[in-house]
Amino acid sequence: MKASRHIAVGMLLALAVAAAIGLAQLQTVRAQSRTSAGTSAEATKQIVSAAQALLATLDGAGRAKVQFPFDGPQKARWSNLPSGIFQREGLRIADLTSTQRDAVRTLLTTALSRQGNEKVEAIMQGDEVLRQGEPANGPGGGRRGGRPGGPGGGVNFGKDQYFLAVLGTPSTTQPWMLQFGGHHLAINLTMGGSQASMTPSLPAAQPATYSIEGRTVRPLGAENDKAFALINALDNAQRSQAILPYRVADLVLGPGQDGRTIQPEGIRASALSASQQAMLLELAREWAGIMHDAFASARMAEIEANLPNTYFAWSGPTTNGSAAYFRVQGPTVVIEYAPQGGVDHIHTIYRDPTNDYGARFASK
Amino acid sequence: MLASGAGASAHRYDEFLQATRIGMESDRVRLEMSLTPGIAVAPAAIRAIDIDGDGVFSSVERRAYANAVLKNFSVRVDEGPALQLALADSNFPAPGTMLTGDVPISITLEAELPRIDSGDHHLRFRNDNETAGSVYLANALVPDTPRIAITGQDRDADQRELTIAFTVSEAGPSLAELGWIAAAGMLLLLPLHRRVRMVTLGAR
Repeated sequence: MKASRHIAVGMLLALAVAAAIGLAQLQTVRAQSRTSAGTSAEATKQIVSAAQALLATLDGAGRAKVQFPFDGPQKARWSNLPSGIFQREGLRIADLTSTQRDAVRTLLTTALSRQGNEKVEAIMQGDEVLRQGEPANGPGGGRRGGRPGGPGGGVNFGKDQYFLAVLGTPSTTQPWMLQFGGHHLAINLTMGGSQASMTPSLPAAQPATYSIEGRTVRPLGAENDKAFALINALDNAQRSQAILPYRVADLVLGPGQDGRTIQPEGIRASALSASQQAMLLELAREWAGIMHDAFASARMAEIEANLPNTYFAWSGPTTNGSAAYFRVQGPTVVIEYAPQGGVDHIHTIYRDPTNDYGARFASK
Repeated sequence: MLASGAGASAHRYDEFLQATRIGMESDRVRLEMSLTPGIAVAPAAIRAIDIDGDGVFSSVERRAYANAVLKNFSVRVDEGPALQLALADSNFPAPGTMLTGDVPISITLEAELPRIDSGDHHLRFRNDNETAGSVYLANALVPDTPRIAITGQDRDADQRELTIAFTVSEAGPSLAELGWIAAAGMLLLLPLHRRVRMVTLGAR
């Protein structure tokens, strides 16, 4: 009888260990969505419907141009570079009829949040400013080179030089992907049933500040201001941990750096106060919140669940208006913000080492 | 021809960015380099590769440049000799695109790691590849093996030298493996539990 009891206890212990380990793994990588499964499923239906409506406006040649296999080289074919330097595939806005452009706009407004759409519009309008040769507003325009008529050939700017591609077949159950991008923008939205991933994506801006119809536009203004607010909310001891003792001259994990994770540096979020942690989350939301709210909330929940193991790093001056690099890095988030020689030209990257291109739900 | 206003979008100007990502695996170290000459320094960088000046980077020229770059990098473990670096891969853009100041040359070097005992160690990487306007960036990647854990990174002022402190542990079970061990233990114990119960009941 005693032996039997010991064995039973051993079995229960083994079961408890297995359950605890399983739970620990789930906690590390996945967080429950705070929205109901129905909300994200409804969002998927709407996005699929908008994508199908766009495809319906195209003839056979158009559909052949816009659709790619889900698993193929098109997945990683994105960049911050303008057309003429980087060859994008898919449908170019400039080549579409007004009905087709409306369908693209509907698809984007359906797939992205209101904030996300505003950011995308602002980035594209900024490229229009470049095309028109308007001077940038704001200080520190950064070093600029090249002259009209100089070498480099065939570089194209403007709102019409953005491309859309669909990888796979829009579906409410099977994985597929929506790509939209051009100069200073790469949105890679992978859908899989009621799940979605927007990483890797690259929002960037130049000019970082411009005026349109008397209104000042800063495509990445919120990102900048929230980051400076956070670094300045740290006390001296915290700042000494957060500020890297070297200059970070560019994105470390920009385009072409899929599948890599750098060693985290900076201050760990567990060393921040509750209000500072809240600021860090709001900073991350500027990227995670670009996609539809139903999916963004799930990503934010993951980031929050993993906050104790998330780092905030800074390189450069801490006075808002200066050119400074910062990074937010946790188990499910890598965000980098890198000025390109001044405050008027910014590159950023948003990655999730566990879920780029929807790896968690879209891998075969 | 650059479009009017296109000059405003120019990226890097008079800097030659040399960014290196250092990856440690169980038996090798990998250096992934992105070399991006800015607009003002790109012509000199192109001339350094296109030796015959025909406007094309031939395979011979690309290999020669990559091998020349290789000689300027060194990696050591602890106080040991420099590891033998070899060219693993390279990718050169078209010469014309380099003039925009945006497009990198990618070069990957590898070296076998010597046998490293458990405990604390350091890996010292140095980039002596010097060209006009060079700025350096060096970062350790999270190691590919759970046996190696990076405990710190120390850079010199220019970031030409990166010392990575790391610990090596004996190979042990991962979390998933522990879970399977626990489950397997249960399955093994179950028949034994039944047998003991039967024997016990029979004894009554």
